[in-house]
Amino acid sequence: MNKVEQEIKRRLAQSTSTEGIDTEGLWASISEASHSVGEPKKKRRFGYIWFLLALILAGSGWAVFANKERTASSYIPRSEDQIEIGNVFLSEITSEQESIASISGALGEETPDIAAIKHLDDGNLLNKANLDVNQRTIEGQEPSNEMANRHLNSGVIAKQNEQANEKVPGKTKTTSNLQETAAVTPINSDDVKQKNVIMPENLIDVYSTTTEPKLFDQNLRSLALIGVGSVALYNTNFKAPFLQKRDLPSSKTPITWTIYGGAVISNVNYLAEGSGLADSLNRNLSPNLGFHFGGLVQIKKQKNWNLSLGIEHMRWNERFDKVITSDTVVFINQQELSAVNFRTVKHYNNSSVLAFPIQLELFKDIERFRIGMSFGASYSLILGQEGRLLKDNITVVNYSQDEKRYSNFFSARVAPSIGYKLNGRIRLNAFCTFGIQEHGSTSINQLNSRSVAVMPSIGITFN
Amino acid sequence: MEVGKECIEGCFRGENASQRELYDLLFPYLNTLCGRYLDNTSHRQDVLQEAFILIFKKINQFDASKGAFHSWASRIVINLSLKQNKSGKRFYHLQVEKVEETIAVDPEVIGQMSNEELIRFLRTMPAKYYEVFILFVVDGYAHEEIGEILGIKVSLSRKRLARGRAWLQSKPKSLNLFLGDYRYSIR
Repeated sequence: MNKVEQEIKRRLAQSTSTEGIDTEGLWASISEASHSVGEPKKKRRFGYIWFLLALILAGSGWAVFANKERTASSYIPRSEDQIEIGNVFLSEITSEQESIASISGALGEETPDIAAIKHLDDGNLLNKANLDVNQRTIEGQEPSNEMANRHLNSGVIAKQNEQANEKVPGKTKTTSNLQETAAVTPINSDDVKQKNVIMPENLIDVYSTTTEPKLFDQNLRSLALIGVGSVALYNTNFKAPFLQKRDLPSSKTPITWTIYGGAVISNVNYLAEGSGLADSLNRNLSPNLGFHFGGLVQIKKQKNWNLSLGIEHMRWNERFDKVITSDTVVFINQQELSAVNFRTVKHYNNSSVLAFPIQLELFKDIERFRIGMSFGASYSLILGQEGRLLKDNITVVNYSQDEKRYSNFFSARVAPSIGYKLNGRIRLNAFCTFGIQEHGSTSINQLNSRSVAVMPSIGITFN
Repeated sequence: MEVGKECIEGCFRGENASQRELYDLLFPYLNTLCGRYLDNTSHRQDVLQEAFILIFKKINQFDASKGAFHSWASRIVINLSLKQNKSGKRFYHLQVEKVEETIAVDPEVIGQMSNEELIRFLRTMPAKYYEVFILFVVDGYAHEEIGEILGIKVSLSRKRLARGRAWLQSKPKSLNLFLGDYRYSIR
């Protein structure tokens, strides 16, 4: 170590100074803080409990709406249900028509008849059906959706058997030529005593008179309709027992929900213009980038509007700059000179907010795009806050959740949006929420303030 | 600077009187230490407050066999000051105004400078060299300890010290005042 270093060490190693610090003020802060050092910090569970409650509430609401029963406009029951529906249908026929007792009896006892009906074991109806219709079978033919729907909705199935190929005595075989259709003669159980299903061709002919030949030629339409048609011919008073609305099983409407996230820029403006403190605060505070994320559930939807409830977490950030000047004395080249001391305080303030928005969205769909505008409100809970603020024109103080700057507040919201439908279930959204809220006076400086939060977001909507 | 065993035990028990005694004893030294290591001395009060709270909280971890109490406490203050420097650099933009004065200085003049002027003079050294220089020359830490404090390798610590010394020897005779976060308008 050379002479210069030795001199430096000699001068600085043992030097002490109390300049520049208010020792009593510092001790007061240390004493207060250190006596709470031994106390166990209360875990801030408040925010988490509210968040948990909000999640439970959202989940309950989803469960309620998911299980709400509505009348289905088009419902395709499974084969088990089909059996039930078929039985209802058959029982209606049985109970209403005496003149078709042979049919009903056949139906009830599983004896073959005109519209003898057997339930298949599995749901693959048309692949099992093998009827000789105009010398054609439908064996192995894949059903069209329309055909499948008609079969299922009718609840009546024809079973494949070799007797189905037998001709019923007295009946002529016809093609799709309507004029050549033979007259329909009543069929009683004596004529057909087989166990399995027989599909007389005259029935098909009958059906062909009542339906478009083109449709009939595509595939065998609903056999129940054939049965209905034949029954109707025997008894004009017959009333087709259509399934009543009350008998239809319930179905679930899909829940539409959205998740989203993005940035937050919040700008606070202190009121009481003309007040030096308010002006000073407004100059010293500047917005900083925060973030937010949340979810919405549609509770009511119509063609051009929907109503949603949600939950959202936000992090507001801002910067507090304050330059405090004071007079001081400096030594330069062993000369005492008076000078001005500029002390710059820079601090990043932040707040953690949990909001519960409700919003009404008006929208218009243009092909795959959706243009919308949402109007709503929210109630926000302050989960945590920390920062620095001016107490008066010269005093900077710290604030926290214990000594609050913000209390819980209501906001008004508006959000223009644009969405793009990826498929029937998913839509991408981009929107920007503008929230405006008023904050009451605080214990720090007794000034009211108003803030505007701008939240650009992107989200996904699921059906 | 000797801190009594009774004082330490009293602080461990949370006695206000013992804590005040320790504070009065250590404050001048730790305050000076803060002034040496903090880039932005406006944070000095915050750093000292945090340091004393930490000292009282962790006083049970002090081992008298490993060194003097004030050395243990100074290590806490140095760590907090350097940590503050790092966080300050990330978020804050320091406004530094340099005033150059063409005053011819001989090395011996250093002996005539006040401590504050001396610190300011040394701070004109690049920050990385300054930290190692002060820790090694003034506070007497070994390179291994400096490596622990700054989070650097021993070899890098040695290199930076060498460069700091070279800077000191090659310093021009004109004196630059490093003003830190203070802007002085001289009346």
